[in-house]
Amino acid sequence: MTTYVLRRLLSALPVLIGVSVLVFGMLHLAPGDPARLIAGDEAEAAVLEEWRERLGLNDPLPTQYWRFISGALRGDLGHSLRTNRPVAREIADRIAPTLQLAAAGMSLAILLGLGSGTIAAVFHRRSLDNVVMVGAMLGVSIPGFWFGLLLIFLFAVTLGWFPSSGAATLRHLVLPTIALGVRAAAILARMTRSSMLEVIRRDFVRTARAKGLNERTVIYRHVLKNSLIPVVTIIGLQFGALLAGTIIIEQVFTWPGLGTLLLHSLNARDYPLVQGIVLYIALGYLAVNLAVDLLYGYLDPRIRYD
Amino acid sequence: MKTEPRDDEQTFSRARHVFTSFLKHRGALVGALILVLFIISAAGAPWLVPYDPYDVSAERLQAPSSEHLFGTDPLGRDVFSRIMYGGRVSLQVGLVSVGIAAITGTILGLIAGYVEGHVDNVIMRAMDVLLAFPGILLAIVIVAVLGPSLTNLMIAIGIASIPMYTRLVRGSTLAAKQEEYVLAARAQGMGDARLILRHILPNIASPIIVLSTLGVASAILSAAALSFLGLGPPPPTAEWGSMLAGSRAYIRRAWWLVAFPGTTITLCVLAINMVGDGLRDALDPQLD
Repeated sequence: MTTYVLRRLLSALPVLIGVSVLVFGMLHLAPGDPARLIAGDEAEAAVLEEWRERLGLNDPLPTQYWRFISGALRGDLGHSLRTNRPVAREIADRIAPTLQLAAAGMSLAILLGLGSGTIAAVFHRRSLDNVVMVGAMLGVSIPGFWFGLLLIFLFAVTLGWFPSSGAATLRHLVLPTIALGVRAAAILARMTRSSMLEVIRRDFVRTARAKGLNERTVIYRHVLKNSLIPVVTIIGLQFGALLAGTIIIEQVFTWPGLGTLLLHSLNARDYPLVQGIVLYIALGYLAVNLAVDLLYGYLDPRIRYD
Repeated sequence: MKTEPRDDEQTFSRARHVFTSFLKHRGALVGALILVLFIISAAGAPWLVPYDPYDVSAERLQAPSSEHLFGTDPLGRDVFSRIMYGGRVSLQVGLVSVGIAAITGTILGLIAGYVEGHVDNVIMRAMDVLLAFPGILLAIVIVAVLGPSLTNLMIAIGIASIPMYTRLVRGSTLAAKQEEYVLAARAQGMGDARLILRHILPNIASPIIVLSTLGVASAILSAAALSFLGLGPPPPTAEWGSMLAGSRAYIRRAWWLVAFPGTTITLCVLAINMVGDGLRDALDPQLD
């Protein structure tokens, strides 16, 4: 087990290096001059040059990359070009609302997805199954940001039950959570259903029924547990999609999170801040998938670590 | 021994089987019908629209009426006409970006799966790097770097979806390589290129087709989301996502600005997804 974890961690290393090179390269080869951004459009050539020197933009790219990556390893992601505050500080200020939203969205997706997927499988080919499947089909086809606008129109503007923007209270969390989670819920529902239908056909389920276990025990103890394995993988992948989805949903609900910060800094060509945020998201995503891989081994003892 | 699994007769009966099972799939049929309507309205938009989608008029924020079926926007432009023109953008983005992703991904996947070894390793690690940017994040960064335009939108969404195809094709190629008909063809001295094109590619085509179809649906969703963020084709281009971006401010006064473009996206994506599901059932590849 320890070797497996170590190995899995080691294999994530080249990916992390690749991600950092890619992010660094993309932003530094992009048109637009950060020095001009700081100094302003009317700045003289000499002033611009001074800023370039100060920001280290005149150094060769490998030198700049090395400075960036060695700093990052020490937890120093540089300073924002706009506010001059440390990037790590800027991110720390905004990460909580985003994680809160992503976690709420994921919880909703898991509850709704696993629940309705199980119902659909148990009532296979009956009307409840159809209802769930039609709902899931709609869920994967509806744009999350539009669903958010609909929720605002119905529950904020018309009924006035929930606020339409901001992140002050728990009530603010309700609508964005639904808008964010619906797609993942639909995907999980489809996955849970098909996985359960596959397990239900297996011999050990027939045996469990034959020995007189009641249907509830059969479904919970035998079918659900064994069908969760592929579902857990999807949950890991969906968490990443959800993290990225917050970038859009945050715009709909003016949620003060990492996504809003990312878009602002992209528009402003605030390289260090963009690099920092993208690295953070990629790192978080890799960590979740690592956790999923480990959980996978726990759920399915047949997977050997070698 | 199956040396030629795809002689004409078999190909024909298989095609017929796929076609009849597709027709039996009610959802797929409905989806295909809606999709055809979308294609006709997009292709014929210049002749079919009641108004010029870019014509600014004094009739601002008019509610839907027999004159303006879906109402007018804050600049007095006809929403129905703009939605029809928006279909041209969305379908184009869907097809071109999936084209970019499917072709590049298939080539990379065939190479990785066929050659194996170091080449395989390098390709798949590169794909892992792309996959480390979850969901729409990579496309957002690419468009932001290249600058918002229709072309860059298609490139960004295309690049971001390459890994899915590479992984699928690599897996299928590894499996197909062990099939008897491939081994037999190789034993007869068939060259690598011919072997890949004549035997491997046709036999792994089904899952690629299904993934590409569903890919068009998700590309349209991504394009709408990016345009909603202001990363799509710049105004005044009529695009479903950017129409919705403008609607947020008028949500109290003009519900039709929110309702119609969103319903259109959902309907279009739904139709393509239903066709994709039907194709999957008909072709029955092992694809989740």
